[in-house]
Amino acid sequence: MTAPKKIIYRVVSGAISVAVFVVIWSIASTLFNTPILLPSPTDVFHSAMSMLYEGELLIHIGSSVKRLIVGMAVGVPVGALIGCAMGWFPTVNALLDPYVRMANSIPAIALIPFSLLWFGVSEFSRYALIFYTVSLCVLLSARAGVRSVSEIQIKAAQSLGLGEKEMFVRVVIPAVFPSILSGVRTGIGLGVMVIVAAEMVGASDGLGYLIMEGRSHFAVDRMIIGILGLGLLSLFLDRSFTYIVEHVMPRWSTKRRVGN
Amino acid sequence: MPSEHRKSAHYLLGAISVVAGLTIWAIAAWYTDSALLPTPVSVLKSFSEMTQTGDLYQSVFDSASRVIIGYLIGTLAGISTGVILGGSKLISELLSPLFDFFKGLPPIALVPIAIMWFGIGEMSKYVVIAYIVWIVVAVSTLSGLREVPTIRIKIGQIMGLSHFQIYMKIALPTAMPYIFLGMRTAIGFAYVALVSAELIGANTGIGYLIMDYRFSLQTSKMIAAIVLLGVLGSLTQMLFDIIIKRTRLYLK
Repeated sequence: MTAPKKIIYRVVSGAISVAVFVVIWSIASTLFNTPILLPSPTDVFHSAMSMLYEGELLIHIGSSVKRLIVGMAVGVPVGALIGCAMGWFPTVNALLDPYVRMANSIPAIALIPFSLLWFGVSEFSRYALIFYTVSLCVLLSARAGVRSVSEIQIKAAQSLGLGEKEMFVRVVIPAVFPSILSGVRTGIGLGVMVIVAAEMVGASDGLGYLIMEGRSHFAVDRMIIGILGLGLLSLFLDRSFTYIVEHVMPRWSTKRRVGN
Repeated sequence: MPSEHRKSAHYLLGAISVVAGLTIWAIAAWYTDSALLPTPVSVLKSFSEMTQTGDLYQSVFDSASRVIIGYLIGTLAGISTGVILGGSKLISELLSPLFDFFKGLPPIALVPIAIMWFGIGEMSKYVVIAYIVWIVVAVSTLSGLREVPTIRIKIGQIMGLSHFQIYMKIALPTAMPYIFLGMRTAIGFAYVALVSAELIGANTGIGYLIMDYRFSLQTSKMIAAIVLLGVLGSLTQMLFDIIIKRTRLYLK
């Protein structure tokens, strides 16, 4: 498929998806006929517009995104570093593996009470949760990435006379980078999940807070706006990340470009 | 032989590291308030205390039945959605943005509205767990059906099979590994949804216990409950793997 055709195809499939969703929703709200529990799409659209005009919606989205960015800015390098070390040195792996296994088996959401206990209801406790989730996710994929560097590549580099240090920079890092990026992508999704949970349990802004506040005021339209906003935000972040990887740094894309 | 040697060295180092970690934890706990960081021994003690009162069994039973019922409903719905929509490549591709959107929607965001719609009882928990399982399984079923090699379908056509027969006998079996992979991933998501639902609105279950112990500052019990949750999750996934292996469902 050529590029413009692909774009048209995407726009059409997006539009059809939205249309199907809105139609099902309006049918359900008409049949159900209890606006206080299930408002119609137009009602929700109107209150979303007014929230957008008052700037309220952007504040909530902004604070959720800010938390995500801060947590990721620290979590990605830390996770990548530890993951690479674990993949490259068997001793480091043996030492840290039990902890990684344990951390991996406990859902990050279950740790929210912990972070509230240690760091209080603060911005820092939310950063800590995102940091934890994202670094673990990136760590796992970086480790898998280092392990997937083929022996032949390393042997070839050795026979070409590369030293240990050059080998790491020239062979290992380029081979690992795509896996780190795919770890970051998964991390964005998990990070959104955790940030919402943290905001629901204790925060005064953010999309998670918007949902919780809607619940306590019995304002279902605000809850739906929060939920849809979250879904859109997560979709937007995911798509823009893939777009950036594929267009700005196509060399690192995990997508195999067959036929190029 | 050398790989076996390496393996035992791996476990030895791991054990040393765990012992060192526990020691550091114990020393740190010695100098900290026990409400913030209890000692490893007190966590163990709390756990045995919890097993003696019936609370723990009741909570584990409640959480497990939520996960099982929600997971079963979600898997059934997910596979049927995937199979129905996957029959047409056009429909499955046109609707894929919708599924991407729902996949990105954290289940915890739906907990408050599920409680509002279905009440604080068991129903809202089943719905939230079933929802995320449904999406995960449906997406993997759809992508499995999309990945069926054209050559297999062509062969079916040459053999004179009808469209329906090709779908049932060739496409679906080829997509099976994807479906099982989705079902396995869904176990983790089901546990996340379970904890989300129990942290925010429940009167029983392990997630509720964690939150309850936090409020009453019984941190050692809280840690025990969190670890128990992790153990249950891993056990479920191991059980799934064993069943799949035994029944050889991955093989075509």
